[in-house]
Amino acid sequence: MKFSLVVYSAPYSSPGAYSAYRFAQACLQSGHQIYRVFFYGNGVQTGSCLSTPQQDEFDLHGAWQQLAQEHQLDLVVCIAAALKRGVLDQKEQQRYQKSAANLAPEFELSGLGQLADAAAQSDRLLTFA
Amino acid sequence: MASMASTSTTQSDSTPEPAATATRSTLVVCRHSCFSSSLAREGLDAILASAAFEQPLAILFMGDGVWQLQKQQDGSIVQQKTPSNSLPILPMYGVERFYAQHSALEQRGLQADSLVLPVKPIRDAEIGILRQEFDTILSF
Repeated sequence: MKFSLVVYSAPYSSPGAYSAYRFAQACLQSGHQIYRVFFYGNGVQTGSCLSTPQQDEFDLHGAWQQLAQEHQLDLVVCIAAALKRGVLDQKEQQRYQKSAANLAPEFELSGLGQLADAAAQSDRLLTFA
Repeated sequence: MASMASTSTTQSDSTPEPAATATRSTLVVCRHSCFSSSLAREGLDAILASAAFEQPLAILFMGDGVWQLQKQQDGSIVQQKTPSNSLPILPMYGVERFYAQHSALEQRGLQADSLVLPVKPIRDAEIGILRQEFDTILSF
């Protein structure tokens, strides 16, 4: 089955952020496909490569990066939600003349059309708030 | 299922062309009031994007989400946009089916006939039946 996940919660802020990752992992281990993971609302924070958890805490951002590399996942961060929350790639950093970019290479900034497309193309769509 | 009006849309550079053959109906469930969470505003943006893709959509307001339907809200005094002001334009985007959880309206003293949008009140037992009509549930 083709799954898409929509993640609204920021890492370390509410349980949905970690649940989404665990679900993605279980999904892939069971032989299903993940069509897209769409990070929206506060979920866009997942894309920041500046995330620095404590030594004894789970590195959720790093875990997503690794899963994405292993399975060629399409991790999309909603551009409108990301910009206002301070998650930018180099293109947006230059466009808005900001001091830094922080989007990790495994993630891509894109529009809500990607969410609509994921809903249209997937067998199942799950939201994690 | 309500028929979809065809809309001409401009898409941003970053969005792909929608697949011509895939049509999945989506029930959007709105659970947050206008100013308690960014999800009310962000949910509305996602609804508009989905409607532009001409996918069949219906909206169900549940729990605190029914507050979005209350008239005369003004977020400007807290420096916020007011999602409820945009709800009446949804029919222009071809979204024509609106439901509200009857118990949620009643608990909050909201009357179904004096909201920003005409909605069909729906009882809790009917919500499960409604959900089965749709391929996808998108929750905000």
